[in-house]
Amino acid sequence: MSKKKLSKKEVQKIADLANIKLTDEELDKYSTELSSIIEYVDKLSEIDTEKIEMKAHNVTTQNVFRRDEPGKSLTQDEAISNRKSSSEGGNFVIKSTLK
Amino acid sequence: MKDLYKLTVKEASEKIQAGEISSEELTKSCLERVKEMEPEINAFITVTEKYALTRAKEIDKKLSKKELRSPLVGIPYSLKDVYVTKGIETTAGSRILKGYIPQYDATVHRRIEEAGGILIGKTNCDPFGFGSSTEHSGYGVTKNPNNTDYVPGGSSGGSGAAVAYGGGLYSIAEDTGGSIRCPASFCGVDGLKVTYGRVSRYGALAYASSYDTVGPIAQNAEDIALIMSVIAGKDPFDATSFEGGKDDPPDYSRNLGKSLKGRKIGLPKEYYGKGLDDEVRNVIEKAIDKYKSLGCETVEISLPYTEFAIAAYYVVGISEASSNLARYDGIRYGIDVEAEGWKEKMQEVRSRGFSDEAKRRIMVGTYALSKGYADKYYKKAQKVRQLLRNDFERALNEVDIILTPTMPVLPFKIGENIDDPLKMWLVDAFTAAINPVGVPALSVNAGTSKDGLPVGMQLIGPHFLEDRLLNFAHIFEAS
Repeated sequence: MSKKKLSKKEVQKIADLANIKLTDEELDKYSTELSSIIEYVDKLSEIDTEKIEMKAHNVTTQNVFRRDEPGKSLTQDEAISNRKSSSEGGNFVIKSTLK
Repeated sequence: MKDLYKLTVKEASEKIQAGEISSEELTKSCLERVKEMEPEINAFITVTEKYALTRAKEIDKKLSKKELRSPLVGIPYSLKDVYVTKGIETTAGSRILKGYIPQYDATVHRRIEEAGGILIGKTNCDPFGFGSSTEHSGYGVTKNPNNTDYVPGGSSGGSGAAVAYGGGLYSIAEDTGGSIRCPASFCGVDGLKVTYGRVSRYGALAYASSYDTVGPIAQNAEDIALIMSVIAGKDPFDATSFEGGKDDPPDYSRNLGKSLKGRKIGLPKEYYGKGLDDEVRNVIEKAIDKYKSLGCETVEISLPYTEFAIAAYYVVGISEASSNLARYDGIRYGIDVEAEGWKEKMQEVRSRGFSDEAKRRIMVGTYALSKGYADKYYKKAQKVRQLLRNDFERALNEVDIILTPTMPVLPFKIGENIDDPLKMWLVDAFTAAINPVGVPALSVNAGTSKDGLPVGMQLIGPHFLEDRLLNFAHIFEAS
């Protein structure tokens, strides 16, 4: 079998960047699947795009402005209504980020 | 009156306005149909029965006072579950959003409600639009009402199936790379991918922000025209929505019925080559003959970069998706899990909540944007996207519309492609090419295979000329 385009180590690195935890079995599966996908999209390198300008949008874009006027918005209770961990102060609560 | 759920939007609207039927009767008929069909089809994630019946009664009162005149007054419809609905659970078909109750309404939903529409439920889909079969949904597979061994297409399979069986007279779905057109084709109904920016995306859970479009699935082009006149137009909440001036949005029904004599239809040779299923080819050729008999001229055209469309589409699309889906961190909404630290918790939420296909796309997108690879993949694909745009611009200067099959294959069996992710991606070849370009494309039911499986044709036109596509489809359907 030919060498996979993406090794398990590389897939692990991508998964870390994407904040996804993978089991060893999944690493194996995704390194096969992701490799075949990357091999497929590699065909883009056949095209000469030297002189092509990169645009990230479909339609001609221009800045869209509006007046900075306060309008109706959600109350604090509404804004946090889908949180899972609650505190008395009405905040989002997360686990400590420092050990 | 019996079987009201079978009416088109236009027929039902006329009967409601004339006082022949009430919105409540029509809504009840659709809800009963949903109860009858859902155990087998599973087109809905949430059915909003109480909400719909209460609304229908209110609308009937307003109708008796002649307060509402829109063609959508009193008409039951469904929304793909990617649109936020205040107080009604919205999941995007993903387990990660199980239990998420939005605090506001998507603009498309608000516009239809203001016009008097009746929401009867939220439809099933591949999570965040990732899929072409609805098999990836976290809420079970949707089956094709034409034959329940087959997929309904995706990602808006629930919307396609619901419209096909009469679970609401139309559905608002979402198309990022074929997610409206594929299920329309596989379920035997019509679906419009609008020009990018034509309908506000505010409140649509994002997949790929430079591709995402909001559009209808309905029984015919006439109905789609009625719906478009209500949902299109500038929205201050979506900066990319099109500013069309004071006569915008146009009346999309105004051109329906205009003669097609002398109009030019482009047939891109790349779409009719190897890999096109013979039965699909037969149905499409018959449709082309019909247009010829209506006075149209056909021209062979070429879209030379077709071969690279899928690769470019996916690289850009999933790069945007990987960035958009970074927001699902388990803090502000979504499922909750127990874990040791902050980072571990986020990873656990995402690992349990995302489907395999979501993980694949997020990871390939992350790779394509990562240091050392962004030039090779993301930027390269954006440049190829420009070449695709040039292809279509050139072609659409020569012809009035481009006609292709919507899907190169007939609906496939449930389970047939699920283990081969790349193969599943490749069935989108004809639909996914359109979103990077941004032009409108309409899938129209063109007939069926020998075994009765629906086949759709795709009509593609210049930016913002949805009404031209609707007229081509309407004439085809009316003759």
